[in-house]
Amino acid sequence: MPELPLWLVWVIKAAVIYGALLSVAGLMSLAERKVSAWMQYRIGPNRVGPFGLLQPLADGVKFMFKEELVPAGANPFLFRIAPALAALPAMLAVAVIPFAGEIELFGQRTTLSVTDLPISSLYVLAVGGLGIYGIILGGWSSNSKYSLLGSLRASAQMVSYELSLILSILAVVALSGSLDLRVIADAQQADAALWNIARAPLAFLLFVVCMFAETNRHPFDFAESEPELVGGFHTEYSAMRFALFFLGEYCAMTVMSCLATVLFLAGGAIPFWPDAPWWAELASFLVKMSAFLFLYLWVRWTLPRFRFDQLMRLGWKVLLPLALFNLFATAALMAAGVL
Amino acid sequence: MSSVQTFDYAPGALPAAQGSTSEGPTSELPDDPLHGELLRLSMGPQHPATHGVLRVVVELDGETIQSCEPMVGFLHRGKEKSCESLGWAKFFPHTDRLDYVQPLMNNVGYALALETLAGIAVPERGQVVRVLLMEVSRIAAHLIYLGTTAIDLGAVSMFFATFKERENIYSILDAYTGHRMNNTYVRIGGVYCDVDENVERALSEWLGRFPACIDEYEKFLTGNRIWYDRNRGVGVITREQALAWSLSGPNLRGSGMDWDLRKRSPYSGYESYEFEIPVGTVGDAYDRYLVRIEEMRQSVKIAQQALARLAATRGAEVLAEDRRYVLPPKAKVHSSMEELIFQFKVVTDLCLPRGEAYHAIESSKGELGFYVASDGTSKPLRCHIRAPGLQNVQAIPLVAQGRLFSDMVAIIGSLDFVMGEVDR
Amino acid sequence: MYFDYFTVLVFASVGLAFVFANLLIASVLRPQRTQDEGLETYECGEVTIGEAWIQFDIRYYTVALVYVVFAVEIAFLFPWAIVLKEAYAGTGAGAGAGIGIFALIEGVIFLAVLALGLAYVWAKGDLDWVLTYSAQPYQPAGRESSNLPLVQELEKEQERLAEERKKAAAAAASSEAAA
Repeated sequence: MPELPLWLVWVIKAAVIYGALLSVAGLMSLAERKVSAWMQYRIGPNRVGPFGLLQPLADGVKFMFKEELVPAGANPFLFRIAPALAALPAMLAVAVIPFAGEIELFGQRTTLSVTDLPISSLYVLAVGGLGIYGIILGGWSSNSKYSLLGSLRASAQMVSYELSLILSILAVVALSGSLDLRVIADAQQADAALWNIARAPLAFLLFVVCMFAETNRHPFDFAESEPELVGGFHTEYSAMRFALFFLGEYCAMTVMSCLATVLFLAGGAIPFWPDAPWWAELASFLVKMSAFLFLYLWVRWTLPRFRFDQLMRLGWKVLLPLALFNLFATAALMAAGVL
Repeated sequence: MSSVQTFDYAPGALPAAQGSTSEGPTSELPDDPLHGELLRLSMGPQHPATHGVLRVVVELDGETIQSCEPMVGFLHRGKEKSCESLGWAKFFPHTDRLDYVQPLMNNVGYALALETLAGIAVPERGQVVRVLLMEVSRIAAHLIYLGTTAIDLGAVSMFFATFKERENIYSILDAYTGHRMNNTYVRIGGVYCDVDENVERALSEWLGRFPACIDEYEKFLTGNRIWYDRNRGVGVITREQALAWSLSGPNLRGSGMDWDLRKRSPYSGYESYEFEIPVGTVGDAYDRYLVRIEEMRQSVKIAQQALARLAATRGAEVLAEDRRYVLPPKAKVHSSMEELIFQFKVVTDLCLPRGEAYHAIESSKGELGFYVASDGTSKPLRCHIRAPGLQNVQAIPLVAQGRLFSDMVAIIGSLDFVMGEVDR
Repeated sequence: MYFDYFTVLVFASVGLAFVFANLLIASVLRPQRTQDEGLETYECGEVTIGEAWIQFDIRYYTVALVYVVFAVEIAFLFPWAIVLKEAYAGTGAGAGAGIGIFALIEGVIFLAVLALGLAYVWAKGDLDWVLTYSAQPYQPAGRESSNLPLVQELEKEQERLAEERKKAAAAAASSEAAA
């Protein structure tokens, strides 16, 4: 293998991880249709490629060739920029996810993540939280009432659930004593009894609920809620810009699933195999992540949707007190030496 | 005020037909600088939750509906006038298109009105077949309610679960009538053809299996906390309101009034069937849901009794022997000159006696009534259809005003109307 | 360490390039034959009534405001959470006897203040999304009274039928008893 300069390795790594992320997002769009089809006595897409596997590609090509409409009443600049604002943060957040341990790549010893920041969990929250700008600007700039309502709901919902999300992550941070996702994952290594899902089950529950709300997914998909708001914030969007919103949603789901895997399921760790090679770790990581992604689909195609005030009540009056209590309980149990 | 209402949608002007105080609800808001402006929104006609082409103009204060007004007429096809110009028998296919989720029920309703006018007695087997068809149609219509309401509230898979069973009903009806949807199989004096034994077997097999499906739907929804929260207390109609707004069917029964025309003024021999009328207590969307679920079970019971009677009366006539109004059997038409002439007369120049008649049946949406007036010619003097859906649409503002915008879809879904019969 | 952030910058620029390349390619490929109808704002197939850019409800701002307060306070919890483990163990930055319990008590006080804030907002009713279900009760034009004679008649009819049913049931019971 030729030895390449470090910066080129970075670019290659970035490109590979983007490729992986976009593939996962694309496959998610297919899985969404396939899984829903299985749950609904249907077959799902099966025309493009074997088992419809090339369907995401065909969709992408279709989005490219679609005519794009910018409503006459819209704010053109914000309308055009919003989808990129929605898609980018979700994609950027994946930079710090530790997929597996160190590998040897083109003569450079490097970890299988874009970068390892000492404050990576904070980074995910910070960058992921920017995604709301795309949604709120997209909804507002459309100058459509449905879009406006959708974006208002989305913003109120995302900020409401972000608090509980942060508090549930804080409990994990306290347990591991670090903000670095790799350290958090390593601290739970090998022994499944040390996994945070066992040590902080309430935090895990809170995180999973907030993860649905943060990504605007069913049963919290008020931003879209098609029977009421006819698509919500992206009612007016078409073609590639609509695709970017879609991409952003699926990337956000992927990132959240990765985050849940790292925080609560020890990342790529495999029980009873402490020194697993990097490919085994990567495979185990992907399996765990897929489980969360499947949960997204399972819930979406099973449950009815909340009403908006019920969502706010759940977020502020149930989850937030629970999250505060959880943090207190974690600290107290740590002091007692139980955790 | 002129008789023609003009709809002026300049900000601050709602049509007076909206019904609230003359200055409109806009001025009723507290003069609070922190209060947002009203968002005036047109929900429909091209909207996924309005079940067809209903338009509801909504004024939102934040998420609360300050006023709303349903507007109908987008699907107006002049059905009543069609009846008056087409003639008695030729209107049957048009009744299919009224409430198109239960075409056979509409057929029977219209046939009963004509039979009342002409004084024709339907043979017993014909009545049993009609009851069977009506109850199966009722199940099919309630399945539509269940599926579409669930999809509006976000439970998308329910829609497919209900449509799977509806598909089975379609297949069986297809085997019997030759059509999946717009069957047109009821004639004056009975039904067109007797039920095939294969159809009977398929139906009884399906009816035996279907209660388990209802259990499955209930497992999905009845105990589901989100479903409960979305429906309980939403769209409450008291018994008095329901009566004053002339609601009927499951909407009236959901409000606690045990009013069912199958019991109150039986037709087609309903008095001889054993079944119960489910009644709600609160009168909200959840009660209406429960009532419809239970009605499906009762319909299965009735249909099974009808199937047993079919087995007992095998070989009997399904069409009345009245050559003035009723088509002669096809086999005889091909072999007998007189019957051919009767057939010709009935098809081309069917005249019903002078007079008027109104007959209502308990359709899946409520009291479906047909009023026909005849001057003795081959065309009705007047035909009026009392469609329950129109009353159901009227009740939307009654229960939606002051609720959240999200409740709108639950309310529209639970009131259950089909725009085909509302606009006629 | 700053190299780590430089990687993020590289990553971000690749992402930016990807997004805008997509938009650029699409803008070259896609057809442009828009007619005026296509540019109208969606309102269920009707002509749009009024504006969407209105002064909307204050409650959205309230939520945002409460969020900001809480988010800022929670940000202060991050350093506490990181050192908590070390403080209990008495190692690293938290070296020193009894500092663990001190950290716990401090954290609990902070959490209690947060909870108090939540309780305050809760009691003030700012967490209630629907303040009141307030709107004019719907009154159709030309119908002042809901006290329609029909309703009373029907109620009487109901009572009569209930009586009848009771009588019939009693008669059936007595005949059964006689048999």
